Amino acid sequence: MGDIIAAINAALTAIGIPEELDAILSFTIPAAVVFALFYVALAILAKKGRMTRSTAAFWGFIFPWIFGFLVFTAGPMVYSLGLSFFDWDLVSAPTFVGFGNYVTAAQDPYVGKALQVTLLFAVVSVPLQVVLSLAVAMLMNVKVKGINIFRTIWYLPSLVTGVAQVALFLWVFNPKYGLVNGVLGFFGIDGPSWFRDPNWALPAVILMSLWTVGGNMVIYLAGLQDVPAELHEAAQLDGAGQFRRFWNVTLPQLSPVIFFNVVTGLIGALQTFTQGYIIQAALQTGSGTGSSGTALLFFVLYLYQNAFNYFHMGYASALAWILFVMIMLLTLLVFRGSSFWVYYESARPARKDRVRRVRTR
Amino acid sequence: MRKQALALVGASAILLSLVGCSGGTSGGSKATEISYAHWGNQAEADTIATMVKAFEKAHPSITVDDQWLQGDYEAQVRTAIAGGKAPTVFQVSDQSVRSFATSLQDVEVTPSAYYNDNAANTMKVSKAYKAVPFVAKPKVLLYNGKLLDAAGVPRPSADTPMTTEQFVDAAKKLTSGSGAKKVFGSAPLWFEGFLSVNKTGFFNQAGTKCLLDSTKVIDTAKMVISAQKADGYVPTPDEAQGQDMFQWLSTGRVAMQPDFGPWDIAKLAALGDPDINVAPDPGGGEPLEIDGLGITKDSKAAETKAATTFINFMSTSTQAQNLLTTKKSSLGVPVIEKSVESFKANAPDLNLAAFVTAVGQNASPVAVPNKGEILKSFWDTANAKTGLGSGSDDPATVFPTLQSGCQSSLDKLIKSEK
Repeated sequence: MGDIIAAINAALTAIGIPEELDAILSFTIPAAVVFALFYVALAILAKKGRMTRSTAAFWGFIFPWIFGFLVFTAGPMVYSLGLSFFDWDLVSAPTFVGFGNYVTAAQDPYVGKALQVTLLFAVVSVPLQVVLSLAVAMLMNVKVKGINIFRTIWYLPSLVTGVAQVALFLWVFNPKYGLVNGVLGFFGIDGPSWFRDPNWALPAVILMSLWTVGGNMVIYLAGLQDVPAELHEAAQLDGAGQFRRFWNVTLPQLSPVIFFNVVTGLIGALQTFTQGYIIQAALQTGSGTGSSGTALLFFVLYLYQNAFNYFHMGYASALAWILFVMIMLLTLLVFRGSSFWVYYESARPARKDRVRRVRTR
Repeated sequence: MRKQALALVGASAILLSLVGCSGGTSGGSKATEISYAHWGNQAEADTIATMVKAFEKAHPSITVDDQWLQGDYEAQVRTAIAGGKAPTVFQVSDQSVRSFATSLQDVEVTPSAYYNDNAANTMKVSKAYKAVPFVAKPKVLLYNGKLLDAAGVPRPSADTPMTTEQFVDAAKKLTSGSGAKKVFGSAPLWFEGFLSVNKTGFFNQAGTKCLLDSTKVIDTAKMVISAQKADGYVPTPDEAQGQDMFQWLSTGRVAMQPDFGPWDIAKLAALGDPDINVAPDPGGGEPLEIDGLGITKDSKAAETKAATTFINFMSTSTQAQNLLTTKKSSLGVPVIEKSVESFKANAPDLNLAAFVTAVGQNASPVAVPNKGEILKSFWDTANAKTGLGSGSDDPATVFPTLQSGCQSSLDKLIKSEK
């Protein structure tokens, strides 16, 4: 590929194209050629009757996405898989090390620590977010005057995420001048050093993660408003109280939404990076002290450190693949477990049929 | 369908001819363009922009694409090198020149052109110069004279450094009050900086041995920890978190700041307070940084020629070196003698000579590639267990346990370099 790009660059230079356009043209020209070849091939196949017009149209419309996926997702993934078998610092020639990077990862105490921090964060923060956002959604589902204003207020913090959110919470949790310790001090409690304290850094980040429950709240709210009113009425006629109706009607109806939030929340939590990166950077400035050790060493942060601080690109790629497999397995586990607690309206007749078939036998 | 194919080919031809036309215009220009990557804050970037403009004015046949890389500088440059798009010239510090050596061309350096031997020596890797030095960044002691006078502490000498003991005694005397009104003798002490003040470091001079278990390193850690205790003479890490010590010093909450860098000279001059001035750092001074300019191996002959002209201009021409610090912005101290007076003249009321003295006095730390990785375990444990961070264990018991880990990482690095 490098040779093709070099040849294109040389040809562009030869016809007097400015060098600044090299980068964009060395991508767009091969891309245009691939697109042209694909569409011409489609046209020929459709014309010769090897493919129906509707099938050709399908491939014609889906191809831009397939191309993007292959070039920007699958391609880099395959490249990183290959790279994980090399030792490469970006400036020297890569050295083949076989499974060396995976063996190193298995023996690296920081990998264990990073997994521990990341899993603990995921296991605590995801359920907390689910419970809190569901509770808020139920509260916001009450029909009172001006409820939209309250819904907006709850949703607004979700707009301040990422770096801005961490920068904000560095002040909220500032040990001397922060809001949290100020309030605790009002009640005579001497607050901890939060991000600087290895025992409190992770709890502080977990608390910080609750700031964005407004986003999930909106999804739950939509789910709640989708629960058929007749189910509640029927349960009420049967004498079910508020808790019973919540447990036996609302929760089962909402379970697909909860499942969706758990899966996306879990994947997001396992990929946590910004919090650890920004907090560590902020606390290491000035005197050079103040870091909370490995308390916020999230797996992706450790991966980043290896790639872009220590320049072990091969090792970082191996870590990326370990994380990928871990996320796949956990997601699979959650999916398998979902059959015990997720209720799909559309699955009911099929299940009934199955039960009927079993009884008939 | 044939019509559509023809239309596609036609459109491609039009696109290519348009692109070809746009290329023809600039193809006629004879100027050689080089790119120059550097890091820095706003003041440093402004200074470099001014120097680049001066170069382009003096050499109209060369244009410089000024690339200010604001974050993760080293990672960005390495990625560009790996992608075959390395900047023609890029800035390297004395600490990073060794790790970039394989990507840099050898350059001509005349050591006698610089008033300090360190300048040229720090750019040498295995007997070859990989970059030309162009700016020195020493640290000095910033102090608030009013607070010193009020506490009966004599103002520091303009040219003779205090000993570490004198600095600590002065800082203790300057500390008074409590709570929000407490006045601190000094801003927080940077541990690595004070290793240099106490004439030691994490590694020996040859860069082959870790010194974590040495008495000097442990004593320095104890000194820093004692200083930042609640009853100490510097703000605790909790008190200092998120605070601007320059502002604390200018408003009278802190009396001395021992890690004041030259990039803030313009800010200090703008303050215009006759009682706030600089003096040499105590002891051996905090680490001196020297930055150089290297030429990538990937550059073509014409670019190399233009880049050589550029780096020599930045490094040895008075026109460029005089611009390193002006009244408006500041990057550092010139490396050539002829520009020293111009440097001092930017703020005649300030003792800028202290910066020049520091270039000769302060030591450059031993350049060990991947220092961050080698010391990762040390920092993580020291921060978690000792008072350097949030722990309370004695460094004398913690540091020796980290020595073997540091040494084995260093040995591994040295072995891989061979």
